[in-house]
Amino acid sequence: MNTTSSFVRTRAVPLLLAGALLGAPIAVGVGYLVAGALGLVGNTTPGGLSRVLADGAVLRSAVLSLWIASVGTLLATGGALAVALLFGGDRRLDGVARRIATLPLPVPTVAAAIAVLLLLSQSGWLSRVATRLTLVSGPSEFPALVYDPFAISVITAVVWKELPFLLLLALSLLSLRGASLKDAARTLGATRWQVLRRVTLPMLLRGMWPSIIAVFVFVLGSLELPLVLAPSAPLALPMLIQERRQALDMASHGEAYVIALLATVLALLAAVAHEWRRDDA
Amino acid sequence: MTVDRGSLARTLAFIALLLFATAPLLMLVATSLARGWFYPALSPTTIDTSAWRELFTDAGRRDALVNSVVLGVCTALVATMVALPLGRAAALSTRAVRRSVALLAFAAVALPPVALGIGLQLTVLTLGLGGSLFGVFLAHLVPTLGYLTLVFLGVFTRWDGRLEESAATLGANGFTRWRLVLLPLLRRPIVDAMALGFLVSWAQVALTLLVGGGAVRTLPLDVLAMLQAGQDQRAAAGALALAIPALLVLGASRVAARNTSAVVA
Repeated sequence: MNTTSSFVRTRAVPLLLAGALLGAPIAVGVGYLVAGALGLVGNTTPGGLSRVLADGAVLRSAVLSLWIASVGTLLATGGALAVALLFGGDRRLDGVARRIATLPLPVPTVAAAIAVLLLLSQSGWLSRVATRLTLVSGPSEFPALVYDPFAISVITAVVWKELPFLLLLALSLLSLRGASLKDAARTLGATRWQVLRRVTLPMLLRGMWPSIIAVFVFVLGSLELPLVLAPSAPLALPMLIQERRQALDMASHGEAYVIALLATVLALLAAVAHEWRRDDA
Repeated sequence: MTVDRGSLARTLAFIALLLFATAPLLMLVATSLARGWFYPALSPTTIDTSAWRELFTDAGRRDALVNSVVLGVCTALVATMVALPLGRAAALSTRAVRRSVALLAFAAVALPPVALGIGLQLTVLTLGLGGSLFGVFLAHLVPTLGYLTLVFLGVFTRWDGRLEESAATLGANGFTRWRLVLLPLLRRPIVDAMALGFLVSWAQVALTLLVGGGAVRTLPLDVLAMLQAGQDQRAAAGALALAIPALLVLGASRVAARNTSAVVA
C-alpha cells in the first residue's frame, strides 16, 4: 500500500502532469503535421513526402538553414570562449568588458535582426561610413551583407544575440571549476598553454555542450531572423514552410506539412542530444 | 615586452567587443529618433520623438502593445502556476522521471515555432478559437511552460527539503506548508520565472502569426509590419520598446541561463 502510494506520488504524478501539460500539445501539434503530411487534414493532397524529397529547393533551403545555424553557433561559441578567457579575471577592465558583452542578451530576436539590418544593409550605417571614407561611391557599391547568399547578416545577428548567453555560461563554469583545476594542472608542471588546451577548454566545452545544442536548434527554427535578413532564394527552412503553406494549391500545403515534420524531427533529435549531454539532470 | 603585447591585445579586443555589442543598439536608438535620415548622413539631423509617442497614441499601435502586455502577463502567470508544481514533482522523483520531464520540456522549447504553430493552428481552429487572443495565449503557453518547467526543475533539484519536513513534523498540513514555508522561500524563483515567462511570450513571432492568423496584432508583428512598409523609424522605436522590459528583467535571463541551459527567445 505504502509502496504503491509512494510510486504514484513520486513517479506517476509528475509523468502524468508532464504528459498532459507538455506532451499533449506537442503530440497534438506533431499529430496534425503527420495527418497533414498524409493528406488527411488541412486542405492537402497526399504524396507530399516523395515530392519534397525530390525537390531541390527543399534541399537548398535545408542546406542554407544548417549553414546559418552551424556557422552562427560556432562563431558565437568561439566568441564566448574568447571573451571568457580574455576577460574572465578580476582586473578593472574585466568586469566592464563582461557587462558590455552581455548587453544584447535580453534583446528579442526581432529587435536584434532589425538592428543588424540598420547597420549592415546597403543603405545602412556601415555603408554610410564607407561612403564617407570614399571606399565606395554609393549604396550599390557597398557589398551585399543583407539578403546575401552566405547569410552574413543573419549569422551576425545570431552571434550578437547568442554570444552573451554562452558567455554567461562559460563564466559561471570558470568560476565554479576553473581555478582549482588550473591550479592542480599548474602544480603538476603544465605550461599556461597546456592548461588552456588540455584542461580549461575541454572543461568549458563539456559544460557548454547542452547550451550549444540549444542555440543551434533555436537558430534552426527561428522565423524572424531569416524573415528580416535572409535571402529569398533559397529560403531558410521556416520561411519555406510558410511560403508553401500560404500557396494557393493543395499540393504545396501538403509539402508544407512534410517540411515542417522534417524540421520537427531535426529539433527532436537535438532535444534528445541535449538531454544526453546534460550531466546534471 | 610580452606583458605590453598582451595588454595591447586585450585593449584591442575590448574595443572590438564594445563596438560589436553596442553598435546595433545605438543604431536602433538613433533610427527611432530620426526623421528623414538620408544617405550618406552619419547621424540624424533632426531629433523627433513622434515614433515613440505613436506607440501609445496611435490606436493600432497601442492595441498591439496592449495585446502583447496582456498575453505576456497571462502567459507568465498561468505558466508559473503550472510549471512550479510540475517541476517540483519531477525533481522529487527518480532520475528517469526527471530526465523524461526535462526532455519533454526541452522539446516544447526546441520545436521550430513554425512547425509547432501549424499543428497548434489546426488545434485552435478545431476548438473554434482561431484568430482569437485566447487561442494565441494557449499557443504561447506551450514553449513558456517548457522554459519554466526547466527553471523549476533546476530550482527543486537543488532544493533543501528539511524546512518543509520540520513543518510537517510540527503538524502543518500540505496547504499550510505551501503557504507558510514553500511560497515565502520561493518568492525569488517565482518572480524570476514570471519575468522569463513574460519575455518568452513577449518576443514570440511565429506562433502569434500562425495561430492569430493575422487577426491578433502584437508588438513584434507590428514592428515587422512597419519594417516591411519601409517605416524604419517606427520599426526601430517598436524594436527598442520590445527590448525595454527585457533589459529591466536582465536578472531573469541570467537565472534562465543558469537553470535551463535553454535560450531566451
